[in-house]
Amino acid sequence: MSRMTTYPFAAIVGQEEMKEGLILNTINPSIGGILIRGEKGTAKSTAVRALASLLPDREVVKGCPCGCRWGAWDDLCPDCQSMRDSIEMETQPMRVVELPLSSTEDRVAGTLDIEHAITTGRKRFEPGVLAKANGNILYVDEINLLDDHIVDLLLDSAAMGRNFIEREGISYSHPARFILVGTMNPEEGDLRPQLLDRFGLMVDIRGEYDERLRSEIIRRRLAFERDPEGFCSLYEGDNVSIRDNILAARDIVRDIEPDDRVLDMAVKVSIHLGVDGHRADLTMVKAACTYAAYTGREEATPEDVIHVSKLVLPHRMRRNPFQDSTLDTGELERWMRATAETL
Amino acid sequence: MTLPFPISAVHKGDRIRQAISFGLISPDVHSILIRGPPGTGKSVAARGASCITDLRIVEIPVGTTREQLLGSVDIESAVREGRRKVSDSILSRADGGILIADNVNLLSSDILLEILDSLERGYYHGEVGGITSEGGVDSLLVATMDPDEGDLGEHILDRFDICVDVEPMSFQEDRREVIRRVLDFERDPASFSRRYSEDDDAIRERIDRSDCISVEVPDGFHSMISAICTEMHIEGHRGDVAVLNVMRASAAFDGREVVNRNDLKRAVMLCLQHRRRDMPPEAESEPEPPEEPPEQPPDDESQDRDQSPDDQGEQVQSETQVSDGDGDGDSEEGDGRQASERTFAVGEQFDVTDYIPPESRGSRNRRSGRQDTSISKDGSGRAVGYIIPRGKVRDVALVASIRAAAPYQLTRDHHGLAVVLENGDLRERVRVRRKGTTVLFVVDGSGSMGAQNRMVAVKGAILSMLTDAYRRRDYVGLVIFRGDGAETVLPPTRSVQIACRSLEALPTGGRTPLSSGLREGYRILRRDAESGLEPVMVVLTDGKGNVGDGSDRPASQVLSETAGVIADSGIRTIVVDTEVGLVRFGKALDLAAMMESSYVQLEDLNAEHLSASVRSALSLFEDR
Repeated sequence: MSRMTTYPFAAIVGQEEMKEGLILNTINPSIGGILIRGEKGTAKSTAVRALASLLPDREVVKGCPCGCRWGAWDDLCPDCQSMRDSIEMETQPMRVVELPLSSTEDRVAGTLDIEHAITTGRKRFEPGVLAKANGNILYVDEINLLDDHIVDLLLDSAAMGRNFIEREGISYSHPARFILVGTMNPEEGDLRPQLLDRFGLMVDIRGEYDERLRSEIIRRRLAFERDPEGFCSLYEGDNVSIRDNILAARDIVRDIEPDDRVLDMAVKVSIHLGVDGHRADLTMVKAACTYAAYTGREEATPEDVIHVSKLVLPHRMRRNPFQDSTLDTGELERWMRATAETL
Repeated sequence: MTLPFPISAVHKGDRIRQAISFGLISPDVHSILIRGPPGTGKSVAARGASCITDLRIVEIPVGTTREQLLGSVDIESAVREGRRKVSDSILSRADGGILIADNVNLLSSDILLEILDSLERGYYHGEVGGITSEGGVDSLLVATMDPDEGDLGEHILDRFDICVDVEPMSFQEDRREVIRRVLDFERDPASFSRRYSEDDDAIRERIDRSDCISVEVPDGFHSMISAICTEMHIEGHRGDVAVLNVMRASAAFDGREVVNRNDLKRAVMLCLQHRRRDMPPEAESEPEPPEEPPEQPPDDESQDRDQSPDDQGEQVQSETQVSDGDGDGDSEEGDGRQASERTFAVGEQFDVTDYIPPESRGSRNRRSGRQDTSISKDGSGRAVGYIIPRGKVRDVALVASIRAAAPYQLTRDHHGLAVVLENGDLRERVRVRRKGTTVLFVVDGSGSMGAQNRMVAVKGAILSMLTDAYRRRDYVGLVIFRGDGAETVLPPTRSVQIACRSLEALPTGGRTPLSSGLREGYRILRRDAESGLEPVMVVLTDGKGNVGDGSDRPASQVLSETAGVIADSGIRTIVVDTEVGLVRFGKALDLAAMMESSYVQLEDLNAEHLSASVRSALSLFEDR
């Protein structure tokens, strides 16, 4: 699909939390991706594609199948490493790499390039989905239906930022830093808590039930299908300002140093809710700083933590994975505001 | 490679730093396991090893196969020279280095055992793909795991010399410090590492200076170690040996030539916690060396407190009180004929015992999660190896086939082809799928279950079993029988969330159509027979069936017929007897006999009760 015909991000109606979660991740990928729970036909993949298409091109090592980032000299694949002196730079658009449900392990992780091995008698690594995803968005539709061993693979490389391959006589490793976007319909099965915790953010979405919004969604969709280019040009201005905001925020967020109030707010709410591990705390702080940057501020406040907590906490609530995570957001927000006063 | 997080910067990481240092010092310590919940910095700490040693690090990814681990026929020399040569392998590369395995409980257990064996023996030996691969391997394995994702069996745990449990931090100051450090590191790894390089270097120097060969162990220590191991109910002698080795490494690390009680204490903490069976009350078995420990991490105290015998006693007591309360409930309500319907709350949850006999799961050890696998026939699942095929080859293991053909390439007629494969060269992939179990709960929802709030306890038990099923990644389903028939409330699913919701809403009331319930359960399990999942039916009832099949035959005759059909079908059944009270009819036991089921009473499902009784028996023994 050419970039011209991607539905404009700015034209997506509603689903504000999902859009914000996606944007925060593109500003600061270390937030750790987003899980979108909800029904089919709620613009999940449209939003992801639309967002990717409005981002600027990435600088990568020319021709590298693992998409090694230009400038990340201590995080290259072995091939780029060994050719350090001769590699060149090229730019590539941000891509949305899909992981189909039927994927096999060797296609995901990469494996021995059989054709090359037979014709030349030399071992060569054939990159898989994780290599393609490096530096891009990895989109896993219905991630809860994925086979366990594939999920383990994703989990491992997402955590390490690097994919280690040991198969068919190939030993290889390459950077695998991607924004993981997963979708799932909770009615069709659970996601293991360990994988849940790996997702930085989570949003629950549902179709719009407001009649006016619904008809607006359909109206825009039809207008887009009738004349994609004309439709896109209508939203070009809005798209550009979203992009400019994202780019500006990327610069700002690097310099935001969260003060003790922000850290304490995050830690206190985690302790209050009995969330184990440090990932929740860390993600809350990162997301708060990123949100502050996105709204043009150079300082994060406890208020920012309160704002992002509804994206960071819901999926980490359950110590017992089977009870419905019932996060009473209203109650929590009152508690957090009261706590913020004491900081 | 990117910079590792400095090991000295791991907040409250004394135990981990000790473990890795001692592992690097002692030539006899081969494996370290770091256990803890997600997001507690296990992997970060494991990789911190590279901050205090220059040894090469070799990663063992989750999907590692035997041939990769041990080596097989090298494809390059096979294709180019038509020669069989052993390929490079993980263990050959690991010689003189460090092996790191994250999520080691997701690794297949035979691979893990192969690694642990090789490290212990100091050499590896494989016969893969018709070639012998062997060599020396001197390496330290640093593994991590989250026990919630499936435990390692006790016999595998025992193989780890050292085990460190990472506890989540509960104090605000600690958690703030952790975040602060991680953020600082991510912002500027180089300068953060510089800040801690002095500390890292200090550890490195101590390790380099350490000479644990010449460390002396005074006489009394050997008997002290055996006494501690006996007291902690450690089986086998690996624990004793590990304590001895770690003790010497600890003394060497401190620059001493003779071990002292502090070394012993450190070694016990590192080597024995994961080996103890049926945890006796912690404080009693904790060896208390009279000397004051100089660098006892402060979080130990809270750990001890959590598991003090008082707490455990209280817990057991409160549970007993709950069931006492049940017993006192008014029994008039329990009239089976009562038509009114009630929905009971979900009672207390507990850790369940292994109520499903392991042979019906085909699993090797308890709660082993991923290790319950079976060979898959339909080309799906994870490829773990290859075989010489019988009959038509469907799933060609191409690389293995080429390797098999390699020696004949020089003599074959190539017709312009690079590699000539003949039928006899072809190898077929072996794939495994996780061996699933479908656990179908067939629940008595009749009025008699409402008696004495029995349903509350039953629901608590089912929820506990669901929790267990989740850990094992079983499919679960729910059938309820009451009034005039049986109903499938939930067809087998892996969504335990949905199962919980339907459990909460499960009503009680009316007569007991036990046979209908069994038939419905049988139907569901038979329907899913194709799925390749092992069917298990768990029947929760007091066994007092009083509704037939609508014909004029007596209910008891219908029941025995149905039970006979199920017994013959080979479906594994477990009867959980929910009967309470002074006068018991023992009907559930009769049912179990008719269905050739395992039989268990509801109360015995609770692992707490069981271990508590074992514990009290043990303490009696110790008193004597």
